[in-house]
Amino acid sequence: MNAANATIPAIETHDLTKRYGKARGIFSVNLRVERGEVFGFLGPNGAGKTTTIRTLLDFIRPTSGWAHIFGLACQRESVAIHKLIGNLPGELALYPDMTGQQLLTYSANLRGGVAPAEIARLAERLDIDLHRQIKAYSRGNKQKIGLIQAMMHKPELLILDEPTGGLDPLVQQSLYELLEEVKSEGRTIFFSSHVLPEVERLCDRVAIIREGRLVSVESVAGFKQKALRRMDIIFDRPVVAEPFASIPGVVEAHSAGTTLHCAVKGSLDSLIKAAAQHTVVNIVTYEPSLEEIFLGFYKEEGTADGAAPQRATPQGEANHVD
Amino acid sequence: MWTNSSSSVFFGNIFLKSLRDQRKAILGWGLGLAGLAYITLLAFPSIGSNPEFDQLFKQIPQLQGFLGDVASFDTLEGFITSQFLSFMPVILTIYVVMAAANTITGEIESGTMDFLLAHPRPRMRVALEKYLALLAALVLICVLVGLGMWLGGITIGQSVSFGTWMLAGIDIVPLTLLYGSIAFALACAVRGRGIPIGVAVGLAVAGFILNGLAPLVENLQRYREWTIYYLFAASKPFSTGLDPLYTAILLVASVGCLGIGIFAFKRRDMLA
Repeated sequence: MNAANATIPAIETHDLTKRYGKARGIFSVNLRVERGEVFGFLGPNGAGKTTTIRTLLDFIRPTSGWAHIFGLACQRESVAIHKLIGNLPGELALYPDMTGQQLLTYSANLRGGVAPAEIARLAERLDIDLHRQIKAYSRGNKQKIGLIQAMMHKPELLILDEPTGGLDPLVQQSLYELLEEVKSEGRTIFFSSHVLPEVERLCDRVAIIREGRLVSVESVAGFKQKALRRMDIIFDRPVVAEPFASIPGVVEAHSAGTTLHCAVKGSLDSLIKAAAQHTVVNIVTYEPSLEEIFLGFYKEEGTADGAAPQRATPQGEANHVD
Repeated sequence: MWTNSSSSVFFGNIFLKSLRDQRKAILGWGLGLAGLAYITLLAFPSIGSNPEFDQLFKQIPQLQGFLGDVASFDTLEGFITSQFLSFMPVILTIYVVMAAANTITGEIESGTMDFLLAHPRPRMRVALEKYLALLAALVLICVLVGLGMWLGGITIGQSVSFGTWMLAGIDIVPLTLLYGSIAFALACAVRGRGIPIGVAVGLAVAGFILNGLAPLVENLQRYREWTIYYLFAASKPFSTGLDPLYTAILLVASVGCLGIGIFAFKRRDMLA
């Protein structure tokens, strides 16, 4: 099987396009997700995340371009692909008059059988009673059923669309641990999320999609490195800001008493050397969160190089993306 | 947390699950129509054998198009045909058409089709199993109708055989299946339920009316042979049995619709 070949990426798309009408859909999406990677797929509602995922799953057909999973063509070989993947859709729809166990039995039978012990293990980890009817479940419990059906056959690739939606914090932690186990087993996870701290925690790389187009694919560390960083340098006496403002990489600099506030993109080397001409009492840096970087991409129209002039603010000041 | 359940047999495949989904409808429609057949037959001793009613119907032979062969109104077979079997298929068609549209469109609109198609099952098989479940539900309803007529016959002390009653029930399957298949094919091809239900029910009602009016309107008579009801009416379960040619035409047309439906379903986007 192609999936056995470790050199073949888990997911690969080439100019993948799906048009629904004016400015809707996805356009020339080029993705490559390596095997064993945890890959985050970020974007606000309507950006094209779900369309991309539904095209990968062959629920909808691309207008042009192609997509492969483990080297298999998503449209021609969807049955073989579906054996290798587990999917949790963003808008999970289940049969309301079935119990959790009946639904998982049905799903297991459609997969040709799944070890009941694995279902029981996942149910225990996610703390759910499988004997209630789906319609009696809370949103979080439905999400747990969706997660179990996605994971119970130990798929090579997990595609999760907003996996922690509706889960309480304790169960979220259990899910993170389960996903970390999946990762440690060398399996691949592709997931979209609005919850950037969990993306930061779990993902090796992140793609950002906006209005149907990929605007950046980068490691989490890479994103942070490219981002604008704010720092405060405290001297033993007041300094003039202008000389610092002309240093390459310094985007902004102004002083207030003995403190120089500046924003820097790229290497800090020149700034630190200039500061060393004075007596430095302290340096405070503000590491940008992924959330701030993400917001920067959406504030900046038409920028696609990951170096948008986003303003990195101290963590905790800009928190919600939705 | 995980226990073995006796009901899990219905979750073994899409066919059984789809059949389970229709269990209430099968019982409701089957028992309802069987009860109607039973009550109708109970009326036969007082109405069917009354010469005044017989005379009344024989005076208006144009009703033959809607009621079947009214010349035999005074026989049990003629009575049940005119009073029940002539129009019951129209009622059952409504169920079949709704169920056919729902089995595809309903799952797409509710989002559960994504759940199904995420499993390693070809789309062709998903559509085929759903269609077969629809056919099985229809057969079960018609069997219940046959049982209702048989019980009615026993109650009034008539000697029509069990096999003949069952044949009269099963005779309804090819006709209603074709309308269901038309709705199924359209549901596989287009978004929404409006077109599948509208077209199939429209064809059924138009065919029924055209077939019924044809004896009254000379200009319509030449079109009567083109109605699906005409093909259905050619079968005489109480005398000559099912008409092999016309029954085969109905079944082949249904299979054709199934093929078109599968073809469309394999190519479509799963968008509500």
